Amino acid sequence: MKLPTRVAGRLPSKAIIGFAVMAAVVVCALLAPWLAPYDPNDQSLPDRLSKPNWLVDEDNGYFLGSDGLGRDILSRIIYGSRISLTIGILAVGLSGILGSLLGMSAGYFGGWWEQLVLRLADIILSIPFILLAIAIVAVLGPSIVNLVIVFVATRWVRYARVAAAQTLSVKEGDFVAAANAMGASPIRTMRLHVLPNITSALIVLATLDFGFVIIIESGLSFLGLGVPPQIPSWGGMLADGRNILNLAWWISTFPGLAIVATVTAFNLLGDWLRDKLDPTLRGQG
Amino acid sequence: MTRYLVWRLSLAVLVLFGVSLIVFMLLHLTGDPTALLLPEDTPEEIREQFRHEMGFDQPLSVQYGKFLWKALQGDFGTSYRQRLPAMALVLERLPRTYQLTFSALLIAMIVAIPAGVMAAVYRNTWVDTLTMGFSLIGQATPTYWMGLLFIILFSVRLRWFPTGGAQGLESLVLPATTLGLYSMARIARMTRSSMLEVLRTNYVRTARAKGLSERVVLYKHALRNAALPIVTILGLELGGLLGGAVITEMVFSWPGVGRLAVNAIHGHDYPVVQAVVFIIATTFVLLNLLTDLTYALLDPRIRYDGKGGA
Repeated sequence: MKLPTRVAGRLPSKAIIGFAVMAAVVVCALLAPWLAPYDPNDQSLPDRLSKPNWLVDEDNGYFLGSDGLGRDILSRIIYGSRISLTIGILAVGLSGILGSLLGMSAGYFGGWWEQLVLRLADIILSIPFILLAIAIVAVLGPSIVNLVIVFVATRWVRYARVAAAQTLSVKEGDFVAAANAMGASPIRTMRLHVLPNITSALIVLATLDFGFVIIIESGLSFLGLGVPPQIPSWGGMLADGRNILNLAWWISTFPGLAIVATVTAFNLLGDWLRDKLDPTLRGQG
Repeated sequence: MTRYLVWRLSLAVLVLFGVSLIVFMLLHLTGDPTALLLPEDTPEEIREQFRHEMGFDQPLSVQYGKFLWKALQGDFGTSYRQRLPAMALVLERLPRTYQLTFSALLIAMIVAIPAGVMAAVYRNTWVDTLTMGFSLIGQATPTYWMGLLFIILFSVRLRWFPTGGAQGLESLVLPATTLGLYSMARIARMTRSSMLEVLRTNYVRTARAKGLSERVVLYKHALRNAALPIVTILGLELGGLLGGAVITEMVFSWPGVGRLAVNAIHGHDYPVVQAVVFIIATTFVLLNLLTDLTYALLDPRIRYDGKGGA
């Protein structure tokens, strides 16, 4: 039992809070069917717009209240974590891999390839992200797969820029020259000598990007351009409650808190990782 | 400086060119634009005729050339729904979006810069903790959710401000504050870290040693030198705010281009969507250009160095 306290004692509080909240969200997503008190899509019209049960004298069975169709808010929030995490992992993972590969090769080979990748990044970065995402989803149609496509098509640029800049400085190192002198192929040099030296910056970026993806995903769902309405998602729930704010504030309030808590957790972890892995990036948040 | 100017201007032109390509490609993403524009059960011969009328049967490069030529003249076609030029619809609502965006940035700066300075000066005290705590949560808060909470509290409960629309200054308060919150958090963080760096320098120590008042030291010597990174982030923030305005406009029924775009998307009114994306991206490119040039003017290192950093 000594080890955990020793490890925990060395972690700053922001890392502990970040890890704890993230773990809670992951547990919710994995164990949703066992944790949720109701089926998230079970409608119960007599119970519609029930207040959270700690605000009423009689126990109504809805800890965070119910929505306009009598669906349990708590259960929908628990199931909604699946959507946020799935899209977050796929979007960050795929755009991170794509952007890192493009950026690393751009930095390593230089020349026209570098110009092509970096100018393309400039172009994509010059269109406000939300607008571009909305336009693409509008054409492809709202679905989870299309959301991931939108994120990958637009978010890779950030990784590419960082990877290219880092590779440029790493490739001047003697160990890269030595690898080349010994006849290593460019792919081998990049895999064994460049990549390990640029990953920490990319991991920091990915952690911070995770929160951003969750916010934008729920924003698109809020606009009806994200996750289809029959699937419980945090953004969709905010939209459900939007037109009956004066009757039932709880429908929109609690899913929003879930978003804030999750995103804060990832930002805390990102900050901590940045301080730990890459002190040169400090203060660029 | 001239070399930098030429390089930076040609980059802006290249970027706008790329933006036009992306906007053009939007309609062709699915392969067949008629699938987006016509109902599903349209007979093939009508589809074919429509394709011919709209020029979709020509090579993509020819279509793009025509699109670009028209776009340069501000012609994005006619709105399918409102039977008016798409550009006119966008330009009519654009001032509202600019009004919202710039008010939001102004509110964000008024709160965030003094807060960031204070957090740096009183580092590791409760002032710092509080500011950074707010900023951390502010960065994690979706603006549209904050907007909904504001409506519940200030419009529904307290009845201080209208829930939406654009009648008079009081209807601007909630949307602009909502939109500004996210930037507020980021500007405060940036100001703090930039100030912390400057406060450690020798010229600040010299200014203090000369016996200058703390206010003069902070605002004339320190903040001026800390301003560079803040100016850069303000330019970037404006781009984020322009995008964020889309969602804020939906929450508060603000009659700007964002709401126009989302409604156009739901109505499959693509010329309007294309015009909005193009105009907002152009604004953003010009703002970035302006930011970089301001930066170059403020920082002699870039002025003399030709291509410069960033």
